[in-house]
Amino acid sequence: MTATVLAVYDAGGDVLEVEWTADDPAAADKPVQVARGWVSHTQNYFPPDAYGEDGHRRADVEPRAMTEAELRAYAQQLADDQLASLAPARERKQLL
Amino acid sequence: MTRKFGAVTMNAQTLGSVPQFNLDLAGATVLGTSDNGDGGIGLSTAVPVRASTALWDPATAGWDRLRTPTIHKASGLVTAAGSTAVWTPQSGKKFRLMAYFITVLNVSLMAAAGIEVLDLLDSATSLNQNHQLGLPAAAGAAGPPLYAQLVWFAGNGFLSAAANNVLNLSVGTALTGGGVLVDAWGTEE
Repeated sequence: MTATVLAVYDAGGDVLEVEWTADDPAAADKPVQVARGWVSHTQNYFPPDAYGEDGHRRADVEPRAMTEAELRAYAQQLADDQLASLAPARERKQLL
Repeated sequence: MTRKFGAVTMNAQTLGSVPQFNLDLAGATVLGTSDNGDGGIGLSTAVPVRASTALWDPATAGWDRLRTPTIHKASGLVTAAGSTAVWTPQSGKKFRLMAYFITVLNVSLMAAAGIEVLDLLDSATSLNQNHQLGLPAAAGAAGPPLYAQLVWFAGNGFLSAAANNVLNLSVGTALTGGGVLVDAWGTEE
């Protein structure tokens, strides 16, 4: 099952809302889920290579706004993360 | 299925023209009157109500679920003046600072005796912590830290203003010996 991003909104209060569905995106009655992120991440963005091995950022890197492709990737990641979180957290295994 | 609530309290008030109801189910039990064949919620089966605590946030005029600090970050020994990263959240996350412990080693000293000013910054914005202490130019005898403060924020603590902001330690004057340590607790969200 995969998540298809339908739309991305600035919901105010720095909240980014991503509407997505795991069903056929062309279906009229498809269930729509909403994943949330931060608008500021799209404006105060550091690419992955800005981070060192210690987890901190290099001092010489300045933040920038995301490109459209990066925004699409961020929205897809939020949708994918929420889709994964909807799966059962733990699997029960019979031991005896 | 219908449900009956046991010992519950309900408070009603009016906020503007919108009625507000606070239903407190914590500690109560639910009696399920089952008509759907679910034995787990059968007639007269009492189950505890699962409730989470929410805090009123006047800054956003909304309710905020209570957080539990799950992340611990440590600065390492800092002697340089200016900003030093204590907590760099994962990409796309904000740090929520809920508590910190700040320590100045007993062998800390400056080039000239004076007042050291320590603060925490949300990227470059002061959190107005304003720790000040007098430091000598020569180290004293070994012993306990010159300064050690645990600061525990009430409620949900401080949420960073923007994703990817770093929690920085600000040191006003460089140390020529000893150093400052910060341990921070909170969440990333």
